[in-house]
Amino acid sequence: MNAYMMHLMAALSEAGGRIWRLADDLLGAPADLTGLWHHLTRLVDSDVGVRGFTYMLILLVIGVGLEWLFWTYALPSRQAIEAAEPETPRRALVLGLQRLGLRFAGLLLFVGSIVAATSGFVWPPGIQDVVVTLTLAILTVRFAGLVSDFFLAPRTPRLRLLRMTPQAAKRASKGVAAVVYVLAAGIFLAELVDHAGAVHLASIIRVAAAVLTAVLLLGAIAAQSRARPRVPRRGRRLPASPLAFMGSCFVLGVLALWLIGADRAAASLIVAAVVVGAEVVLRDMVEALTRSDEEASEDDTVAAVVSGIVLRLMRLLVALVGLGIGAVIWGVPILAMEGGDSMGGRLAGRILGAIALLLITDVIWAAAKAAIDTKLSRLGPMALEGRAGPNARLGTLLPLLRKGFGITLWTLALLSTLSILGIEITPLLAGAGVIGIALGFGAQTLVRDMLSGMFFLIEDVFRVGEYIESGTNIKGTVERITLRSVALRHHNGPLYFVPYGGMGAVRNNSRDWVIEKFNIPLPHTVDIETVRKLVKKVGQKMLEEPELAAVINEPLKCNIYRIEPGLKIFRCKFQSLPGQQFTVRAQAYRRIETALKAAGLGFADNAQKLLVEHQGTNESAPETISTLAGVPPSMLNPGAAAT
Amino acid sequence: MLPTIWMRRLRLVTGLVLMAFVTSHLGLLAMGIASLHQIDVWYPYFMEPWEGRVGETLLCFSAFVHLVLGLQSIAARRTLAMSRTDAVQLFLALLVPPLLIGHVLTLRITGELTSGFEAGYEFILSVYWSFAPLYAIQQLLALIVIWAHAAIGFYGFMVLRPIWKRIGGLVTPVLFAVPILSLLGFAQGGKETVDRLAADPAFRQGIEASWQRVGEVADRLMRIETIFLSIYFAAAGLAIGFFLFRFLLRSRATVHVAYDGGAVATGPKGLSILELSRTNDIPHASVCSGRGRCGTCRVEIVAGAERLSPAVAIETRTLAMVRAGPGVRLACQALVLGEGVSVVRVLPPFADASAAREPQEWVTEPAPVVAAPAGLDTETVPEAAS
Repeated sequence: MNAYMMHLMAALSEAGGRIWRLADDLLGAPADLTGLWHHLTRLVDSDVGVRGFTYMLILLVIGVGLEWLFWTYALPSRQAIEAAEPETPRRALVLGLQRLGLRFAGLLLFVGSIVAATSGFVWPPGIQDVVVTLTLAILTVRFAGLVSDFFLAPRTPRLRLLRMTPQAAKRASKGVAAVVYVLAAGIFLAELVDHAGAVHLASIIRVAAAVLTAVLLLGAIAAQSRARPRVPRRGRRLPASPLAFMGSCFVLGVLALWLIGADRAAASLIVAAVVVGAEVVLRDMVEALTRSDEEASEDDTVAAVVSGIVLRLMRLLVALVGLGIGAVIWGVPILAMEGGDSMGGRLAGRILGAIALLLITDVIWAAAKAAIDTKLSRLGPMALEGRAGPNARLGTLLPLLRKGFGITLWTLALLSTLSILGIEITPLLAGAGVIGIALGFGAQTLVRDMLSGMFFLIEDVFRVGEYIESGTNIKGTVERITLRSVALRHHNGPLYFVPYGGMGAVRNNSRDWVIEKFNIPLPHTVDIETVRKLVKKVGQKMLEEPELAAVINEPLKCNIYRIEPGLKIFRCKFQSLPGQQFTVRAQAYRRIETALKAAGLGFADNAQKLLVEHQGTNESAPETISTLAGVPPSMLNPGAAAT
Repeated sequence: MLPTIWMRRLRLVTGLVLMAFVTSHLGLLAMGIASLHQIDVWYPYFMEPWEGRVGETLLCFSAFVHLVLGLQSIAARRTLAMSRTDAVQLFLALLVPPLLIGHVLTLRITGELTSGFEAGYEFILSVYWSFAPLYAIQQLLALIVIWAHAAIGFYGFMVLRPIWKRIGGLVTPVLFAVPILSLLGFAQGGKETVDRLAADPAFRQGIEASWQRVGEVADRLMRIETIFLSIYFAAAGLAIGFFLFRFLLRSRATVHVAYDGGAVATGPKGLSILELSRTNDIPHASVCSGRGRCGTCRVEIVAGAERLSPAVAIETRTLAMVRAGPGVRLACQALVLGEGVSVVRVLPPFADASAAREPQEWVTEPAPVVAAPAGLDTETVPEAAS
């Protein structure tokens, strides 16, 4: 039999002993009760009892009087708060806090004046403890009532912090009050009875209070599960997790643990449950607060960041308080933990530190993530009608930033946690360094790609949606930007993945504007000035069409470029938005053609005219022999000249 | 039957008489702080006026009338929806007769039943501190209960008077000083009596003789007490039964009342507008908590004025006092008898007693939405209320 088994057996036998002691208490309670009754009647039926009672009444009058005085001044503002109609949940929270503060001030005045006045009397022996215990009981019950009212607010629905119906709030508030009263009776009444010497009766009162609390909780769980609307099961809906059953088991388990004397384990479980419950409630509240704030206020970046931080901080606080209570329950000295000798104490301290560190890291991470995400969600569309939008660069950089920050932060946190837990991280770091160097040599290209990528992005060389041409003659529209490479969609369809390292000089075809030039060959007979004016007019006409005017920066113009035999070549140019030049050019050709036709002109054709002179005849009718198509005029002309 | 307004006045006046008696009684007890001797010295000034023929008659009449009218007011209640102070006051009132009857009978009747009985403070203190301390507990409870009941009523009545502004700061401490001082006097006098009983055998013998006299007539006292308590409990039961009877047999028809700001109250037909506000958790100012004295609950009737009960004397008087315009009713007096009533609360829910004392300072214009403080800045509330 090993040591753990021995421990277990000892615990079991102790639990059995505890049960027997409970039975003893049960048997001894009636005798205790009669003894207590005699004690009480003897006490009351004497001048000591009368004096004590008189003093208690004086204290009561003092306490009630001061609180009443307070309320004669504070009642109007409390009524105003209760009648207010807050626009936002945050305002409701503020009002609720003010109301809680007012009521708490009244309670404090009541209790404080009683406690202060207590010292002013010469008490008969044994009475002062009773008074202090009763005052504490009143304080506890009323304070619990205040807090429950702060969250549930059954009579002031506008100040309710938890999302529930008025009926549910009223029920919950009554349930909380019942549990609080029972627990207060179990604690304070039992203490008074204990004080009077009736040990068995006190024990029975405690057990009864615990059992009654468990029954109330079970009733609440049952009511909760019955109140949940029954959705007819259809399709492939997952069955709900058996929360009610698990909750009931938990309550009964805690009760059983407490009954067999494992107070610490039971208390720890209760603290854990309260921490989890508080976390759920807080998340719900913070969510409710921020959701409506986003609607109300413009500055939702701040709101999102604040909500993330607030939630994390509250979680941190709740967890730390829970851990602290747990440490107190188990008798672990919190302050002396680091220097403590005991293995368990040191370990507990370190675990606490590690958890705190991770929670703090979580706070920072939430804040950064919320900030970046909100910025991202507020960005406009990445691409507008095929053009890269103004936010495309942010849209690519921010997720990278978030990822990088997350990796760095969590790596640091993890390493620090390991260090806190007492694991040497120096060899780990050294090993990581060696491996890093090895990897660095091996992954030189990778690193180069990533670094160049960072600079490409920072220098805003290209954005998603832009048409670029890399130094290695790969063209395409930027579709995706990753840490290592960029995906370019060639206009014919293929998708190129270009690592940044090999991109070289990048030609970006989608920035700001482009100038498009094209030639129109006209017969040499046309007048230069006429054509220039004609084309200029065409350019002005194009500007009159809104669709074209939107993409044309500078209108179409043209001038003589070259004169070749039989040809006058005019060069036209216009400036347009990037990517639009092809449409505009086609439009320009069409309109120029129409305009030329209207002016009785035409483009230069390749029709070669051979003038055949018949020697000796008078007829000199020129005869077209052939038309050679597809041959450039410059090639044809010499032949013609030669003929 | 007297009109309600006169019954209320009578209840108030008799209550004030009783309170005056209790105050002088407790004031004398407070002299015990100095010494037992001082109680004897001051006895004529505090208690003699109440022991003459006039004083005694007035006292008995007041006690009887106050009790009867109090029970009548319970019977006349329409609902249990009332302010917390009212509920406390009512509950305490019901406790007073059973707690007090023993004390009164012992001191007033014993002398008549048997000769040689001297009921002085020394005797009573000796009984309470030495012979029968349980009676002391009962009397202490009675003291607190009576005083709390009286103080609530007195405060509720006085706070509406313009004079309260000047004397309020003085009277409120007195309201709390009286029970504290008298309790202290009781404790101090008791201590002195106990010491004297131990030290002075002659004194002790005198007290014991008186105590024996009481013991001789205890049976008869007990019988009288039983008869009185039976009558009292029967009367109280009758009053409560009458209330319950009306409460249960009340018309089951529900009515709705629309308020400014979109709130709608639902409740049984025949309740007052204020009672409907209370049962529906709608904020509604009411300083005198529905007695028709303060006028802070007044509402402007937008629609359905003919479906409200007609105004009685109390209401018209109070409305004239606060200079209310036409179409304004007191929410605590106007009973809702049918559907379609729509009202606008004239005063904000946080209106306090100053709204009753200086009505002209609270209503500057017949603004329809005064009572919906949507953008209410709570920082300014104390200023507005003070």
